[in-house]
Amino acid sequence: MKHQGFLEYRQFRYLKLAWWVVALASVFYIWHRLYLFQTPGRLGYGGTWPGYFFGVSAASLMVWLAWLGIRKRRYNSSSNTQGWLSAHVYLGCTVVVLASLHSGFELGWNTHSLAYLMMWVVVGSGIYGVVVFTRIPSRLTETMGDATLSSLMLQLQDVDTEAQRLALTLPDEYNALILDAANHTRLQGTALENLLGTIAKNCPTTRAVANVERLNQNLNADSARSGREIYGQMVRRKGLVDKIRQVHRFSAKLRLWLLLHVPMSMALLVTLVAHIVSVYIYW
Amino acid sequence: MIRCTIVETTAQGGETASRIARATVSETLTIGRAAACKIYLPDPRVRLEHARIQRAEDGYIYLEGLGGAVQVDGEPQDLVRLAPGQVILIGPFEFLVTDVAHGPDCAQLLLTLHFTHRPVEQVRDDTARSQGGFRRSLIGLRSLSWTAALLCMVFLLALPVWQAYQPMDLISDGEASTKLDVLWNPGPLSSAHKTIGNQCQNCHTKPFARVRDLACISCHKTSGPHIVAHKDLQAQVFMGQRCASCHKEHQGDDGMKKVDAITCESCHGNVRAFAPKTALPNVGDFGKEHPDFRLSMKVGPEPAVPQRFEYTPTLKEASGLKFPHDIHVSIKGIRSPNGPANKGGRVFLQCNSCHQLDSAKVRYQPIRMEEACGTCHRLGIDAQNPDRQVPHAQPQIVVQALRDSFSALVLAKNPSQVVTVNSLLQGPQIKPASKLSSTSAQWVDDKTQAAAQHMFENPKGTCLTCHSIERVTEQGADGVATWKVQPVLSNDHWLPKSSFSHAQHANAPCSTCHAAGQSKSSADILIPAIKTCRNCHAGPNTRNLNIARPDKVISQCNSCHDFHSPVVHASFAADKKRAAASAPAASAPSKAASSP
Repeated sequence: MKHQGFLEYRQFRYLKLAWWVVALASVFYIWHRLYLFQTPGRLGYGGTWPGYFFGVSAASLMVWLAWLGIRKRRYNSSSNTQGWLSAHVYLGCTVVVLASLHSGFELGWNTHSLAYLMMWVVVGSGIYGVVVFTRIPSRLTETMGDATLSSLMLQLQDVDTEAQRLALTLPDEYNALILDAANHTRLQGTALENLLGTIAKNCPTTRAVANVERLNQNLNADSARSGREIYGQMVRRKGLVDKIRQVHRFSAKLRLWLLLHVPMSMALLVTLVAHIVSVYIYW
Repeated sequence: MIRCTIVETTAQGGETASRIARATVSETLTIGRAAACKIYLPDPRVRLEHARIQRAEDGYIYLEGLGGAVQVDGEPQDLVRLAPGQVILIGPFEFLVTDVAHGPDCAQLLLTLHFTHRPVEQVRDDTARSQGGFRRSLIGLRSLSWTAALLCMVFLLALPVWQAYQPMDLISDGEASTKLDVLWNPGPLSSAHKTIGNQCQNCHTKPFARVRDLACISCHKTSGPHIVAHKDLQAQVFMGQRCASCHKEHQGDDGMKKVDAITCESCHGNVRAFAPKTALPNVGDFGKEHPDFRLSMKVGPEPAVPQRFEYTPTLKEASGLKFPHDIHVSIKGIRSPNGPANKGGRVFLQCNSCHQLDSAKVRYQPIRMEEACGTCHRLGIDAQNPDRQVPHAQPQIVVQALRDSFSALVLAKNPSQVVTVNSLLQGPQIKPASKLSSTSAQWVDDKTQAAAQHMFENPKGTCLTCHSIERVTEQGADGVATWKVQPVLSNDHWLPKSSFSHAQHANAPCSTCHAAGQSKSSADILIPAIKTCRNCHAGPNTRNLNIARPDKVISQCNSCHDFHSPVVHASFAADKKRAAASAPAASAPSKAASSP
């Protein structure tokens, strides 16, 4: 049986649903702007009855979308989590349309527009997440091939052991470089370093590769062979380190967008409450 | 066939603990972590099929790396012929080739490998496997979510709500301090309310309650309801309506003034449903469903009460004046006593030569003869002496002025007959004819009679140029006939129930709307028909999407009409007064209903 992703779930059932929601909402909006809603200033706002309709729809959708965070942690539920995710993605995109129609395309510097902006950030990061989830796993497989992260780590250890053994007869600079590479090479950075791609900056392994090559020129004939071998090990180490970092970066990409998506969703829900309360407290 | 023996030595504490020998026979010995491999090495550092050992064409046994090199004697090798003493390193496993029997002549291939499993070293901390691809830091998903949600909760919800329940700052002068609840402001305030705008409670007096009329009326004290006198209308139609039902705040600079036309049309679209006896026509969209203008004109025996006439192209005005606009504004000019001699005494008049805007620049001031006409149309007595003029007044006064003028002439010739100033002012009335010389008196009478007759009766005379005058009696008490000027009913407010600002239309020449250049008679009505307005103005019932801007000015009801103080037309007021006089007890709701 062919694997079916959450995007194709049940022949794009929720994509079709989302299309219908967007189409009907747009037709409804255009109809009411043409024939019903005639404020002289031509300023749209959410306080007309179609405005309330769009607002209530968008707000209830947002609450339901946020419910996925709870739903996916429940393993005894009867419904299909893949279906939920599919609906989450497609109906999440319709919220953009519904909220825009609710706004009447009038924005300002206030809580209401902030909520609207947050909604864009949440949906935008979600769309980015979908893109990441469709592209990264295959690239991860390509990079890793047969290996696993733990096998790469063990290979790295072997390289270090071997290099340390070879360096025993060589000058102290070699030992220092190899130990530095072994102990201070960072393979995974923080979230920020992943975003900026700065993890490979000042990498001790890169330094070791360059410096061992330079030191090798001054070696006498007896130890030249060890020097060359150490150089080979360091080059291999560099290859391994790059590969491991690549793997880490890929798996970081799979999660980093959630750092925007999830906190922004929570902030959005609170701002939504503020939006609704403020509208009715100063009715 | 290669017969391979693997001898495993397990080293424990430097001592040889045990020796295990395994034998396997195969054409090809595969080495790897795949279960199918002849030499199965379960370790992550070993590839699935890491290497294979087989006899090559030259008869020797070779080790071949699969998918990469194999470490043999510390050097990566792709293909190496096996020889005793070689150390093959596959991941953590070390094989020492202790014995090998091979060669082109060898019948039974033998291979003995000495196998050692190198102990796994301790995994260092910084290379430890982690989940998620990046190091855990302070900004975890959960802490970020809580922080963001709490920030929004405090600044967008809790603090502004708290402030909404605080009593309002009472500031006598200067601006009140801005509070956090301005973050809730859904749109720009109207320009008039900006000064009070940073205190929401100025209007939103009670939380969770709609803005009450009291908040508006506290400043807008004079804005009354729609037709104050009509109590039924207030009770039945406007009950439950708030100021904010029509005036929507937070819609930009002049948003509050822009009132939705639908609100008016909801009654006036079918006005008899609300006032069954009204004479008002139904009114809809200005572009299509607004009735023709009804012009207020002073007519008939009661000119103080203007009557309304629906506009038709043949409708005429009876002002009692003769004034052809076309001659006066002709491009050839018109002769004037003040005209420059080199142009044959012709002056070129513009509309504003006579018509002057009022101080509000809304309507034009009524035409006054002295300013508008008098500079050219002089009321001279005789052509020889142009400065000698009569006032622009009723015939009796004009006749008196003529008589004064001629008397003065006589007195100038006969100073002996002057009556002293004192006696004229203080003394008893002197009989005029007896004291004056009879010839002089006769001369004055004759001249006065002749001049008056010329002025009032000659078709080319001074007065008949503009006025219609009839002789009333043959001889007056003073021996001169009396005349009656037909009253001038000049209409200076044609459409009193709407406001039209001429200043706002100043960029259009007068002739765009008023066809004065073609008007040969003062009976022509130069007020344009509604279709002239519709050349530039459309009602709001056109397509209203923001993207499709109309090519005309959208005009609402309140662009011309005032909801709060609609003009009660003079004719209705007069009707009402009459009705009240005839039947004081009976109220007149139908008349009142028809007055908006």
